[in-house]
Amino acid sequence: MSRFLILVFCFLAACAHAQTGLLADDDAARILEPNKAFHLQVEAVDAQTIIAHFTIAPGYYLYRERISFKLDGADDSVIAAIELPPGEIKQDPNFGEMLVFHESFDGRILLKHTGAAPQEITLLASYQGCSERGLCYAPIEKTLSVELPGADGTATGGSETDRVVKLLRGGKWWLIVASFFGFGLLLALTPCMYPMYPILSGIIVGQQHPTRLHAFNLALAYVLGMALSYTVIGIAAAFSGHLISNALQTPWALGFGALIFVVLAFSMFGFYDLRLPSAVETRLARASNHLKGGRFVGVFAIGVLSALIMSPCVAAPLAGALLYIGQTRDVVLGGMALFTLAIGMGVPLLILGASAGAILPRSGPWMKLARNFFGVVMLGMAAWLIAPVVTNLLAPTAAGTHQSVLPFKTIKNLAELKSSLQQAQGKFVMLDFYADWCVECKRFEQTTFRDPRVQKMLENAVLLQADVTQNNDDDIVLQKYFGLYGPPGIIFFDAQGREIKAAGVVGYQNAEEFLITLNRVYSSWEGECAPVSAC
Amino acid sequence: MRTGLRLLISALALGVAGFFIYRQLAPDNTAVDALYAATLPDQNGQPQALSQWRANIVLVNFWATWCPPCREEMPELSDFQEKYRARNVIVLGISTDDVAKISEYSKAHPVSYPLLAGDFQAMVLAERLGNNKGALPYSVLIDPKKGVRRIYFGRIDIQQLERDVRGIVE
Repeated sequence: MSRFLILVFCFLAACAHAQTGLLADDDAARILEPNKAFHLQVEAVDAQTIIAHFTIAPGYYLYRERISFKLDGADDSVIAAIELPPGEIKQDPNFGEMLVFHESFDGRILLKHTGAAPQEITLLASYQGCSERGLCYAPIEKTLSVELPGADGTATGGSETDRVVKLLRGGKWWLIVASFFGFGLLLALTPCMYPMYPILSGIIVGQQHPTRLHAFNLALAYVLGMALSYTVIGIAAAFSGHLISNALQTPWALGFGALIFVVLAFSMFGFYDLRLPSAVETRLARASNHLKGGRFVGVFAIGVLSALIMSPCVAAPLAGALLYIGQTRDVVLGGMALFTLAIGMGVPLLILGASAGAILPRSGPWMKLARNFFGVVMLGMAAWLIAPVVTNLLAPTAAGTHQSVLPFKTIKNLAELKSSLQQAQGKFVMLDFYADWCVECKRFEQTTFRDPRVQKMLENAVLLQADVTQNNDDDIVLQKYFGLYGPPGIIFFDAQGREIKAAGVVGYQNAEEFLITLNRVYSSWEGECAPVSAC
Repeated sequence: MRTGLRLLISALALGVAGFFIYRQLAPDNTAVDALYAATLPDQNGQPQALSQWRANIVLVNFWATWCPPCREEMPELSDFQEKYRARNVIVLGISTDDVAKISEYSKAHPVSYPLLAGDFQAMVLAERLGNNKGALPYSVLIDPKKGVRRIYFGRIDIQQLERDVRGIVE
């Protein structure tokens, strides 16, 4: 019976083969559909900038010169420029040197609107590519509709700070809480949180018999401590409307943070046991007899401190929240927002705590090793925190004479700024707030401003820098004038010397993000073309 | 009994699958009719009715001046044309370009077979003849009696082509 089955199967298979036999059997299967070979996805980052993500399958390539974009049915909008990466050179026996893309890449389409930006535009994309296997695809044409964020940026896009401010302004209470929790979760993935892990692990590993519940409670105490710090920062910002992130970046704060790390590190090495003063401890111990869990108070305190130390690292999203809170003076909202942010940031720590009882062995040489390892990590953190302060001390250049990679002209006060703006008539002006003790400013100088693309785009601009290292009265007035809480902050002015509010930068941006900001600046430029984009 | 039922179901399933694969892959003969109904200008701008080659064994080669692998295989197709001309075989090079482009091309790189400017129609015809991927070069071997015998995605293998043609001729 089964033999008969096989026979039938063979017969059918043969039939199928005979039918498909007239086709190039494996050829067709080997070749990708054009949409799988080249995938295009577009998204608008703001009303003037569309990013085109091209995904290219291995062994396939696109010709750079055959990529084109047009707008369909848009009378009031034009494409000001299309920016594509340089591509690779391919030697073609027929055409000579051709520029092609073998790897996935992003292109940028810069739009210009004569009136208000439309909500949606239709983009006609055309591109053409080949396979290294000796096959080309006919030009691929795509009609894509792209939703543009409004001119006031109500949809997606805008800088990180803008988004935070907008969300708060938008108002829905539960939405704010949920979003800040989300922001916190995202922040938890940044390296800012790394030092928190060894601290917390150190605490948990240090326990004699960490049960799962106990470890989780410790983690919870730590996270709540962290959350308290942020809440206080939020409330303080609401009350004072004054420079918080600034204060956190002063040499004193950084030095203090570094010191804490060193102290923690040495306790990890076993030089001493970290303990509260005996008087306090006795009182706590007495209290803990009643309250259960005096140890949690210590962990809670460490949480408070770690949050304070780490906040410069998360200054960018924090600055947006602080800016808004400072302006509205809404204490409850400010505190609430930052509390949920911190809880979000603490989620991985809670997971760590919850798992600790199961993962960590109870005793043995492993624990000693781990403690030593965390000690070394903490020393590294201390060095990282203090490095900018130390380099300043070692290089005794007085404030105001620090050398930047960009040819900045230093301004001291509002009056100097105004006269500089007048002199710059017809050119666009960038004002950068800098301070020697500002870690993020140094990152700006070391990465973003060094990027040749950024330098090229700033070639024809007037570059001003306000050095607020001293944070004297003039500096404070200048920062308040632009609603800044402290460096890093970058303000742009148009040809008439008016501030371009949509493009202001608070906090660090890497070269890619900063290029997008610059595009936004140039696109608000009325009349002429942007200095570097082709028109 | 059980085996018998299983057998029946398997046979049915296979039959259905086979039918769909066939429907999916095999170009229908109306595509060949559509091809022969077309009239396209050659490299000199002279309109050519494709029906004049209906009695030939035809290799339709879809190509474009901007397509490197197409240009690479064209001298080989030119030699192939010379070799099999006496055996009623004809190559038709239908380009996605316009007359001006192919006339310029044929002056620089003459071939022994007619080049036709398919322009926008080229990819439509190619798609009807089974090119579901917009690929170039794309070739189709048509037997005057039995219709489409084989399709070739991409750079053609001349030896394979010769084997296929001999299969029809002999």
